[in-house]
Amino acid sequence: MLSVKSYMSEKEQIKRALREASLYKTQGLLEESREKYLELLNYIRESQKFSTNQELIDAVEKKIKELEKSIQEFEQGPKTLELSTQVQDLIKNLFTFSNTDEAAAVEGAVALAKFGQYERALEEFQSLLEKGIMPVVTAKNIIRCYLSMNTPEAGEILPAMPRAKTKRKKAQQMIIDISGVSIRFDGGPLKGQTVDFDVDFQSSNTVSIVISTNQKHVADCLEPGTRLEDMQCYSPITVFRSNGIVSRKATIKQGPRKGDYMIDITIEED
Amino acid sequence: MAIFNAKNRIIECKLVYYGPGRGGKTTNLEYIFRAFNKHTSSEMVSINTQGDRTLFFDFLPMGLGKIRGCDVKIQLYTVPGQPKYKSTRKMVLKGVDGVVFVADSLEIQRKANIESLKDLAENLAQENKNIFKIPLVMQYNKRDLEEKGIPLMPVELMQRELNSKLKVPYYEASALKGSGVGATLKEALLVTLRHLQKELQWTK
Ligand SMILES: Nc1nc2c(ncn2[C@@H]2O[C@H](COP(=O)(O)OP(=O)(O)OP(=O)(O)O)[C@@H](O)[C@H]2O)c(=O)[nH]1
Ligand SMILES: [Mg+2]
Repeated sequence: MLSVKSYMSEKEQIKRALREASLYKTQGLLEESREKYLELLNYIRESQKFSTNQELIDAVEKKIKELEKSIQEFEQGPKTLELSTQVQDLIKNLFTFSNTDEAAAVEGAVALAKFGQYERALEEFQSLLEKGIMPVVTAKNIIRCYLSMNTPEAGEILPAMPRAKTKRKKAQQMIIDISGVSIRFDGGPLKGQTVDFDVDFQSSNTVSIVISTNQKHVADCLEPGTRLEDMQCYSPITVFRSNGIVSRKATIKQGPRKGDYMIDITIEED
Repeated sequence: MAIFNAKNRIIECKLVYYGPGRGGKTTNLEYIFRAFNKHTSSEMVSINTQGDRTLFFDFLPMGLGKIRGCDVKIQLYTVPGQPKYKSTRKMVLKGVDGVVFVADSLEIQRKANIESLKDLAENLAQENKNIFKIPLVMQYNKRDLEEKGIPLMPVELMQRELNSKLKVPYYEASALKGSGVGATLKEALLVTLRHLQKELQWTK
């Protein structure tokens, strides 16, 4: 209810409420202004003296309608904004805190994406990817940028950088479909050779490949714990370089591929 | 994250104006930009949406000149106050050294103030910072509206609800008219630089 101050005449109460509601509106407090007008409307309708004053009621109702329109416009208004290159550069500079150049470059691109500057962020991420800088983070962010650009409601900024999250969350966030990997061997009998594999199965950042029994010499080079320093990952959208580690090796016990080797490779997230 | 360059004796620190939407953060910076133009070299950057609501942040760099032989540079920021921009606030808060909490004295903003303060505490915690430890100054803004007959909260009530545990310095202000804006800023700089002095020993 309106602040009931019995010494104030009804007329004064109404004047006061109008003043309040109009101030809230000029301050951009649209919901609050609307509420005040609604409150006032009730007050007028219950007042003996003013409930017949149709002109007053109409005026207040008109205010409420106008406000509702503005509120709706705000809700539908753009949630992001294409900024000038100059301001984008500023954002890149202001929101990087890392000490190393590589981390800072990624951080700058992430900041651009978080502030909705997807096209510019994409350019940055693409060039980072080409240079092989933090490929997994970079590739993931490229996809996020595409997703955000194509989904109208994705204007709200991307979730935090995966590095800031816990390990488990990190893995859950791996959203790239990896269809194949090619591994260059640094040592062992296959030293210097590159072998391509199809990915049979992927669970977050772990991919599984199957190697047939007649390729045993290849499977022998992929024992659990083996680090793969030079690996290319292929996905429908992008190709990126990464490191991996063989996390599991098993022999398939049943079915048409019985006897073949099933090898899990966990792709490192920088 | 203050940057202290010991070789060139430059110290750079970041102050963030926080508070509920429409509370007067941007108006504070605009006043500072106009009134302290001796210390502001470049333009103020504001990224707004319709109706002047901050969408991303406002940014105003200032140079304080030499303090104890050190060149002191300050970056002032505001966050967007509307609740839906939480992730942007988090982003702007990165590397913060000191905070000015601009509370809205309007009675109808009572809850919004409390919620914004809670939001600040949460976002600081995610940055591994503690609202009880970070240099912080309270500002009770829009006091000029009292004389216009608009219901405001008494300062004692705001103190009790927002500052009884924090016990940080507070100022009444009208960012629109400029009163209290300079005092708030000076206190915020003082507590922030004092805090950094302990941390970085930059006056040694
Ligand atoms: N009367 C009066 N009005 C003020 C004062 N400070 C700000 N305002 C008005 O309140 C409204 C909001 O001010 P802003 O400075 O844009 O508020 P903000 O905190 O930056 O708001 P967001 O960007 O949405 O978070 C504007 O219409 C200002 O003119 C004040 O001290 N007195
Ligand atoms: Mg603002």
